[in-house]
Amino acid sequence: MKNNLDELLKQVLTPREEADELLHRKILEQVKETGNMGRNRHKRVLAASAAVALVATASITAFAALRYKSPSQMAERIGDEGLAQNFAMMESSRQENDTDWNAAGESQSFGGYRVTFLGFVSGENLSAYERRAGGELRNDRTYCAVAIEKEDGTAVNASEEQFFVSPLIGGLNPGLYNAMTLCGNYSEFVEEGVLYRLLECDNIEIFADHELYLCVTDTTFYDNGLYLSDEAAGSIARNTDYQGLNALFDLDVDSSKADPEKARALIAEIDSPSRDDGEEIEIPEEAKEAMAWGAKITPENIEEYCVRLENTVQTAQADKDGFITFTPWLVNEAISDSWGGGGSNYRFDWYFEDQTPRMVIDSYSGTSIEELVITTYTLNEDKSVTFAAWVPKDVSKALTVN
Amino acid sequence: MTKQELTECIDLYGRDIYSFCRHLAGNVQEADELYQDTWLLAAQRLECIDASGNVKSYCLSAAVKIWNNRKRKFAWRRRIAGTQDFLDEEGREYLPDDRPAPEELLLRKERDRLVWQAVDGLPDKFRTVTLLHYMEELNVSQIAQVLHISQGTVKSRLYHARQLLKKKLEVVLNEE
Repeated sequence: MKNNLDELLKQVLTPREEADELLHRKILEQVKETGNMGRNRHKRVLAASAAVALVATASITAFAALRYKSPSQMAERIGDEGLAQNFAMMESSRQENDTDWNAAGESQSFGGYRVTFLGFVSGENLSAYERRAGGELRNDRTYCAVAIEKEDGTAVNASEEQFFVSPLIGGLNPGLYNAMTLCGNYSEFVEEGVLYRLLECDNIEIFADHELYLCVTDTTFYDNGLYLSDEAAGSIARNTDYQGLNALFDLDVDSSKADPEKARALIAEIDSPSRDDGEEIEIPEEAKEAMAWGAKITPENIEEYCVRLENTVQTAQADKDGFITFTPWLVNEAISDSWGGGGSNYRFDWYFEDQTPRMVIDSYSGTSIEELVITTYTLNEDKSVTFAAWVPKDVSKALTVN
Repeated sequence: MTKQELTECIDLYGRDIYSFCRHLAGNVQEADELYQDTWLLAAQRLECIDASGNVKSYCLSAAVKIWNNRKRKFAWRRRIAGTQDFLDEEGREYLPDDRPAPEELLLRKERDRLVWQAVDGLPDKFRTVTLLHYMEELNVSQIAQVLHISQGTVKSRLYHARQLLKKKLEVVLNEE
């Protein structure tokens, strides 16, 4: 090959990207404020088009008590002016037409926490930020605002205390259909000991012909033991046996907003196995075969099945910090340590903590048995360590040793 | 470490960390969040960071942890990163000091695009070690420390990454 892969990668993969200056400054400000304001994870990049198209279907249905921030103030605090405007519009509309916004929001207390549901809003392009998932825009969203505080009056520690906030859909398994699978995300901050969380996920109004809920738990993920789902009846209830936090609020949505077709499509998308493909590594059969072969090699049988490549053998002593360094080695295109930069370097006690002289298998790798290479470290009686690369005996002749 | 020292590190390592976040996350929006969260996490753990130690490695490690946690938490599943975005962004062009002829520049740009496409298309595990090694210039030992995995695993992942890249970049590698 004309170009060397390592040189090419080093040349092209040079760090060149820089954060936006605005983001840079914001981070510096936040770092200075750290310790005064608690965790505040909120910056997102402004959408290319900052114009916010308010959709008439946006709605808001719950109230906040005077003592808490309103959802619009929360949105403003996390830097989402677009969402703040939309929440404010709904708050204002609600004040004029119905009840005072400052009327008490619904609160529930469980497990030493008091949770107040401050409100929610749904619609397209409500946020000034665009949300993408799987590379696709997802701007038809629901935003839910809650305040979580401790009943004993101590401050919530957002770094150590975990909460899970999610809409749930009656009649659908809440373990499968919740904020996690609805492309959820959240922003939160702590102010005067109260944790404010603004959750966003795919618009749940399309499920308005189901009973809709908002759960708040003291867990990291959805836990099946915390709620009782009766899928036939289409209802979900708290498991009252749970001693921790498992609040459950009703989400009041006009059933005329249901869109069964969209709902079916979303469920199909969530159920699609391709959603999980990104995590899976497709390993060719011959590589699996090689790995299976390599896994059977032990210090006891390696000489029976493998050939040691003598020009890779190196012996070194640990330095004063306990590190052993071996220089890069190269047998041929297929067998080399070119990924190591300065050769391999590892702590002596990683493998030989008890200082008993012996050989250990360091690694085996290869996309086929023909390319399989096994590396070993051997602790010698004089405490020096010998490195060696090995290849399977029956294919060793195919690999021309330079 | 003090806040002042951390802000100096943000200036010093900002580009390195941001570039890493950018290609770990795959798009600007996620990268910005990841980049911010990484520095804020560092700010919250100032007492754990030795200013005379390897702050960059600490931050790279934090970025990987945050990213993995975020992926698990929200089950965001990304497809292979869209390469068109990369082409449209400024600063991606390869511009050496002795500027080459326009046609050569075009070839290099295309080469760079293909390389980034191949790297961004690697499975997460392989992409992470590739970025840490080739972009951040960490050796196997340092990568092992950053990712909290054994050196053998690092080597194995780098090996597989190189094999995959070699196949994907066969045309580029065979160019004169």
